[in-house]
Amino acid sequence: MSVQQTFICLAGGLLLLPAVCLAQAEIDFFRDNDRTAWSWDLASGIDTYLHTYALALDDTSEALAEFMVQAGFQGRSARQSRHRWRLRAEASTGTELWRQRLEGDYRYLDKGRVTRFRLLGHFWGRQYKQTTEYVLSSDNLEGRLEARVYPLVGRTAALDLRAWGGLIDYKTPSTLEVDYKDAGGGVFVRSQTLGSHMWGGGVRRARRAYPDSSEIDRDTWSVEADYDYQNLDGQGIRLFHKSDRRLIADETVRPSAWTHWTDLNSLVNAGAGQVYLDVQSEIWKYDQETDVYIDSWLTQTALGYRWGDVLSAIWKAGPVLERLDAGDSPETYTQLGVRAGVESYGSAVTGSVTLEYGRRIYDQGEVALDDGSGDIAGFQTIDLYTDFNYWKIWLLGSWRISRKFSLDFLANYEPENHTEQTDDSAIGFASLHLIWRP
Amino acid sequence: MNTMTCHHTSRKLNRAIVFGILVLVLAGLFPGQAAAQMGGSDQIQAYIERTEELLIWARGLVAETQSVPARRVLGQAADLHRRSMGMMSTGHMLEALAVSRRSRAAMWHSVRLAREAMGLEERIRIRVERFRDQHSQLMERATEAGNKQAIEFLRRSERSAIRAREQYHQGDFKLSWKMLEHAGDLMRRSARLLADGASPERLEQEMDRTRMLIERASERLGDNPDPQARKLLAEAEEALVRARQGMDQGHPGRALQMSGLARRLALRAASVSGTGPDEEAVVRQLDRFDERSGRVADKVRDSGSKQAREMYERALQHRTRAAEATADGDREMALRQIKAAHDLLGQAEDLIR
Repeated sequence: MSVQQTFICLAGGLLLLPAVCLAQAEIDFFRDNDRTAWSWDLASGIDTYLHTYALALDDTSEALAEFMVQAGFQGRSARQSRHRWRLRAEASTGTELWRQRLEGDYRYLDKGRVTRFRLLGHFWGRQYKQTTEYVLSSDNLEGRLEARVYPLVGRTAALDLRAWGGLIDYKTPSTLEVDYKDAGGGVFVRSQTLGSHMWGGGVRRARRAYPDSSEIDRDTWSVEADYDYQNLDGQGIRLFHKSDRRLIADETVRPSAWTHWTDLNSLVNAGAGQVYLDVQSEIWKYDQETDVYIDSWLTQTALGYRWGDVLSAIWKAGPVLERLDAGDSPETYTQLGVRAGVESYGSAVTGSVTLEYGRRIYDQGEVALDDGSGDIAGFQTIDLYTDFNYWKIWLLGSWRISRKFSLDFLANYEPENHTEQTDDSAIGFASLHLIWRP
Repeated sequence: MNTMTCHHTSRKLNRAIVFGILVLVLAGLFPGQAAAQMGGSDQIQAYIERTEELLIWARGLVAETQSVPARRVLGQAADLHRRSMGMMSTGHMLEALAVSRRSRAAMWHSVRLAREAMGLEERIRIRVERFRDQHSQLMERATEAGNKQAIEFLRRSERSAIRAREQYHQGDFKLSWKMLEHAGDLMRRSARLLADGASPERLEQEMDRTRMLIERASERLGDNPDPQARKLLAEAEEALVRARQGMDQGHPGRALQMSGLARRLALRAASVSGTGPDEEAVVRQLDRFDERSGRVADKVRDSGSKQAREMYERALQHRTRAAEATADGDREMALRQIKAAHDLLGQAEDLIR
């Protein structure tokens, strides 16, 4: 789709909105918190994706722009009801595909207003147009349904039993469009108090079956725990850990693996602002490494200072460090950068801009060869990965044009400037949506 | 063809198994180059045949992943290889060599993309699960709190996650990862908003705290006729009224801003008048708490609400600490503690209302 066509579509969509809105104006809606409430919205917008990379020594830019018009209808129960529910139905048509979405959440509360049962589900349908520019274009249906029961709810904690099932079903399955079915269950415990400390944890078991590729069927066992402390001054700490054991039906096709994932986010008052520290650690350990399944330990750390007023502007700045340790694999790297940003939550305009600049250095992205003669002149090298400087640019915003209209936009662009020019690449996406909520 | 071995420049080859195939790949690259530089037809033919072997190996590796870009680049490499074969068959050896080199470069690029994609494919899988749980929890909290801004962030976050999922299904894991990161960022902002106090229950506490501060400043001013202090206090009261209006109209952000402004003005009023926290003010707050808690105690007991009782008990603990701090002469601490006690008592009242 050309830029010109995209523009015409976007303009047309925006013009179309008020007409559709007027046609629907006689529908009655309730907005009282004590009653069931229904609302609906219309949106028109464009999503674009850009990926530039070297292809056979020539730079290739792949850009896809998708224009769409979407209608959504949602309802919720009265806030005081013991049968609480939320429902959202959505349908859209675009230049690339039609989409449908149905999501629901039901909760039953006992006399003490304690949740005893919950049912959550979503179903997404996608039908690609014949003219679509997407590479994989088999129509598909994806869904998931989860039930939660809370048989024991004490003063400090509640027991949470879960069971779920899900699927993706392609109309025309292929090597890259594979049907699967999910099923699983879990036992969790979660704190109940409204105090400053919140915690939870549990065990879950899941199974994914691929009807057409049973050798990659998998069973997963997971344990997880989280802790959250926030005081009235906004200081706090969040901790999350999850260990995951994945067992593959045929290990000669894909190895089984362990994963350990830990997140830490903390905020401490300092002077007029706050010091933040975010650390993320992710360890992958395969039963057997292969050319594409490599043991690794990724750590990402962001440390900085956050200051300002929530409505005028909140500023933040600080260094970021990322390290991927994959042993002697050429993937092993260290990345160091500086991130700065500003965000604002005004009543008319909400937005943020974040910039990051840094450099990634591979420990041994270069592999050397020799001809076996032992002569230093016989050495040759090849660069598997090359060091690069990068920019990360994030733009996010929402402009409340009027009480009913708002404009949402976001953009992300991340160019990499490599020491080897042919390795230069860039990735980005942008989205612009005009939304009408009567 | 010479026999070649591969080793890393800076470290020993203790990962020989993992890179065994890599060695084979690279082994074919440089003899061919050297041969080509010599310009012999036999060597060029050997180079091109080796390219074919490498392509077969790369195809196996790329097939292990669902990466569409890797497949696309590998397809390009195969096309180039076919062209080089065609040139070789018509005797255009040097041109065939040049195209075969391009084929190898593309092949190698596809291998890199495949390795990168594999890592991302696995990471996306576990992140999506976590995202789903967190999103569901936060949406529940934001809906209960009626925090429109947080709900809006969560909706946008969900939309990004859905788009990330579509890109995942399209085999573009890098883009999918970026979009999922973005969805996570939006979700964290929503969590931050809920934690920062832009929710009704927190706002209510904020309002109470501001009101108390203004009252305290007013009490301290007493009969002080300082016009500047009086003006600042009046402005603080006006800002608090606006904060209340903002909250009632569903603008928690504006309410928060006005409440903050009211507090700053009240503090300035107190500072202009030259008064600071005194023991009398603390004692007054302690008395007020005792009066309030006496009223609330029976209601909490009758309600049977465990959460309200817990809040009430915590409020009493803070009141005790405030009294201790007063006895120690730490008035700032005493004020903080008694404020927390009032806040918790307010929460207990809300729960049984």
